[in-house]
Amino acid sequence: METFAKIHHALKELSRWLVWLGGGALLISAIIVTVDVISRKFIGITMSGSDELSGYVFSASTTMAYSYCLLHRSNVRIDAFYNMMPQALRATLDVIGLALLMYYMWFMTEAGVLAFLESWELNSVSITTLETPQWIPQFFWMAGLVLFFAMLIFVTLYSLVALLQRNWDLVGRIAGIPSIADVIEEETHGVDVMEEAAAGREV
Amino acid sequence: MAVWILLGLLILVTAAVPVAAVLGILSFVLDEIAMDGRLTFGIGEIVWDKSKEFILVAVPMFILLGEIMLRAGIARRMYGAVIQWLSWLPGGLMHANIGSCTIFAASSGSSVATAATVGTVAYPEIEKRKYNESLFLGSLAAGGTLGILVPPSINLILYGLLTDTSVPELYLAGIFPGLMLAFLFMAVIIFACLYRKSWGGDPVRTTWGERIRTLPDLLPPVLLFAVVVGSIYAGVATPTEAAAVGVVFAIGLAAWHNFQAPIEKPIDLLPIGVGFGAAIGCMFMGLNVAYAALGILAFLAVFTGVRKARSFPFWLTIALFVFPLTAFMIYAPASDVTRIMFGVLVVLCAIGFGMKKGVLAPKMFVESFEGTLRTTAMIMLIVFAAIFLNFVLGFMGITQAMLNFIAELGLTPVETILLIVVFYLILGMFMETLSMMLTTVPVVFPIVMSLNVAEFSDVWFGILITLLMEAALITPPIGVNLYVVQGIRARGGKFNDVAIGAVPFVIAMLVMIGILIAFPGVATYLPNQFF
Repeated sequence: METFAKIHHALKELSRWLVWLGGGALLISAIIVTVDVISRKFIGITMSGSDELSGYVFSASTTMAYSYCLLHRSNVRIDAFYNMMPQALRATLDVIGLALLMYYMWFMTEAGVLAFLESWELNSVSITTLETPQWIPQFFWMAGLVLFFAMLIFVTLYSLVALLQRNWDLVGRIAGIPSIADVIEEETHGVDVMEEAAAGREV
Repeated sequence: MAVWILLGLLILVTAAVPVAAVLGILSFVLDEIAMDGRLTFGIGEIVWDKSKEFILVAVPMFILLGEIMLRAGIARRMYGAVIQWLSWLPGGLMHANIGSCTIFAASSGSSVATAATVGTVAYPEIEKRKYNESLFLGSLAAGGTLGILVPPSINLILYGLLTDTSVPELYLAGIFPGLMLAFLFMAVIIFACLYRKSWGGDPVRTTWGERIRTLPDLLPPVLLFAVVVGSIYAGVATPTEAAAVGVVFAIGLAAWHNFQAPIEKPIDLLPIGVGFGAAIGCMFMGLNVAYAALGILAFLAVFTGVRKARSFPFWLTIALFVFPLTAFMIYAPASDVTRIMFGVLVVLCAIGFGMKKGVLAPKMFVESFEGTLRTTAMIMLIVFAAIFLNFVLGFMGITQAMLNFIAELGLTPVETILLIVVFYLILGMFMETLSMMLTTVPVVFPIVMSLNVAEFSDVWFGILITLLMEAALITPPIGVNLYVVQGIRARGGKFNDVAIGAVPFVIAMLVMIGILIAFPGVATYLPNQFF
């Protein structure tokens, strides 16, 4: 179990690094697009392909962020009835939900890998002035999918083991739906909203 | 068969299976039944094509820009300013709740973040000024919903993508209903507080001098809105490009926010006014070089704080840097790409400089990245599954079957629309809003289009469904914004307080929905003027 916890922690760190990388890439493409827009408007020069490049950055950073989303329990689930259920049933549903997500992602990942291999073999390029070989951006996109799938396998296994040990709390921490307090924490942690609310700070 | 599929769907949803998996598995099953699983082979290409779609890039960009505004603490200061301007109305701070939610929501992608941020600042005032707690909390929950209607809205982008509707048109269409709804909310508060004076709490006293002093705190979100939405309608930028410009602009605003000197007299606002006035003047006279330089100057004046901007050495230093840089961008004998990359480098250096000077915290970037990509991944996982489902449904002719079914009911167009409204109101009580839209639009949209009523256009329906999603955010038992407001109550209390407080605002939304159906022009008039 301890090994599981260690790996889980390491994967969390890895996914955070990937998200920083993806976010940085998004920021840089935002800057490129901005400068492109301004210079196009005011001095009449433009760089064709800034839209295409940011599309690639977007596709890769999104799939890379799937893992982060999984490890931070941010997948959207309908909790209307979930919240009324006893803890043991909730834990069981958590594992079933993960397994079904894995089933779906198996097809997606396979399709992603096949799409990449096809572009690689056919050497297909984009029908734009950049003529980007499609396998390059597709590789990063696919790598994100494969990584996500690998993490899904791990998290499903981890939570299954915890479930079999009847450790409902642990299952909840790995795979459960976060409470609303957790969600607010996640969405505003940079602002330290909760502490200030507790302190009753002046406007 | 259809019954079994629906039953299976219901079980999966009840069992809290991730929505993306529900949609994906539903697509596989449908594909297996109708086409022997042939479409599933194509999923890779379909998803890849959409993955690099430029319009979708707007989604993380808008989220990122909202994150930066949030984490720079701009929202909080703005609330203090809005109080000064709106709280003379009966109902006091509750109007500031609606007002600052409207402004902040216009720049933020997350209604959770909006409600939570404005909510925590406002919450202590309930006790201090003796407001009716229920109504006050309701105004916070309702105000937070405005974000998905007032542009830039992520929901409208996703709707546009699924239905092939122009996003700029949707944005234009959203402005007027969004403002109307905000006014309806305020009217609700006024009526409630005229009816029971004690609900309105102790009045806030303020002076005009006080109001003017807080103006700069209102400026950042208003400027950002003007840059983003303005550049779309001036034809300068596509929605995605506008979002990217907004991100860079928001970073500038964050730096300004951390650096800002206080405004003491109205005259302190003069340099900004002169800078922008000169820039706009040059634009009309067609002076490109001067315009670009002055634009940057005006921006920097805002950037570095008003106090500093009044000193001569400051302007000299800026001028020494800005004019050569601008001149290089314009006249350098290099290729276009090189000149643009030079510009990119300048922006990156400026950000690095800001970090070194401590006006831009690296922590802010890191947290914004995490928040942005978490939300993006969360949304996109569902969006791609919905796109695939859309594709499968299109092949299967389920849409046609649905259309025939509706035709057999023999309803008038308005009756059909009302039926759809009721359907969404009920669904919205139980379902998370974005998944609600993504799962139902592929089926419901063709129905609305088949009504063949000119006024009930694709743009109009986008606004209607967004209003319905807003209602879903504050209708119990499942209403995300209700939970968020409940979550920020430091003193605790019953969930019912929030739910009951939201009821008057739900009624206001229903009125708005009625207006939109009776007078579709409310949404379509503006876009029709432009397109």
